[in-house]
Amino acid sequence: MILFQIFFSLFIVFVLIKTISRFRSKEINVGWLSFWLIFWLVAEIVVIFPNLSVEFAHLVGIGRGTDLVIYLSLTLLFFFFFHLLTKVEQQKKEITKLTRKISLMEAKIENCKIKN
Amino acid sequence: MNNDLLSLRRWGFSFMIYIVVPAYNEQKKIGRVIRDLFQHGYKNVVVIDDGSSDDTYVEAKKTGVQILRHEVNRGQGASLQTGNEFALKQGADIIVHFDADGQMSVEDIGHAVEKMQRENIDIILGSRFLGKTTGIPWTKKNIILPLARLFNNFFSGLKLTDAHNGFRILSRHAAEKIMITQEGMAHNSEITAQIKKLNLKYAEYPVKIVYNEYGQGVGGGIKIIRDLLINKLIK
Repeated sequence: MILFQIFFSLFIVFVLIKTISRFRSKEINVGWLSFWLIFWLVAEIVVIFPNLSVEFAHLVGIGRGTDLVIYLSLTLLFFFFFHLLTKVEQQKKEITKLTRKISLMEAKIENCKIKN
Repeated sequence: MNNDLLSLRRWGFSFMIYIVVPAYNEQKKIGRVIRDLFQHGYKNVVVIDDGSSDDTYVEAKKTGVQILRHEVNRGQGASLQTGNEFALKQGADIIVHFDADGQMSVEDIGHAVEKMQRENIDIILGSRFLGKTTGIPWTKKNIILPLARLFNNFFSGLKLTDAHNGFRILSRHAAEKIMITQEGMAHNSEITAQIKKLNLKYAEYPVKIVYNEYGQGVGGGIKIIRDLLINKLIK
């Protein structure tokens, strides 16, 4: 357990540095920065103080802390995946709209050229 | 179909028939298909090159046909919608969807249009199962197409003998009302669903399809079902 806590903590430090640098180079906004900071800090706390997850799990009626972590993680993951899917479909439709407009415009230009 | 147009015809005004040919990587067949259409007297033809990676555009251009080009591949559904919008802008009264792979018969167009005008139909859907097509691959005929029919009837509520046929003739009214948002092959089921929703008058017409290639297999069918389901969930 201790070895994992060390490796994980190093990983968290690395991730936090990356996240902050991404924010500085304007790749992500304040909203996402806050989200990921909180997310990774909570993860770090759960790993450093594993008993916390056990207590929390008992609070909501689940046997093991690990189980609770897994349930929550899976739920979050599925939600985000579905959200992403929706966004991708939306983007596909938007790209098609643009592609169509370009093709119609190009045809107009060509036909104008032919007329003149 | 608009009754005014019918009476116009009786007075000698002619209809503008526009043939929409969606094409993706058909450099070998597109030239012949277009020339065939021209030879049968159809002057208003538009090819939609759906981001082909081969010389479809070049080969089509040689025939002098009007071409629209999608910068990136969007799918047959998207190509047909582009073609519809273009043809409507040009003033088309009747729009024909015709495949670029040389499997369809140009002769079917004239007879189907006649039936359309005679019976005042909004949209004609081609069918391989009304007698004219032979040589359908066994797995297609007995497994894939019956399954396709089942799914199509489930998604659209229309009972068709051929659920997945690219041969289509639309009146201007139908083309204006129908909006194809399914970009890939699922557009077939989407169109039939819209026919039902918009209460358009439709009819199937026997068409001759020549089988040189297999076309959509099980993988293609699964993709279609996936697209339709995703669309239902997102809406």
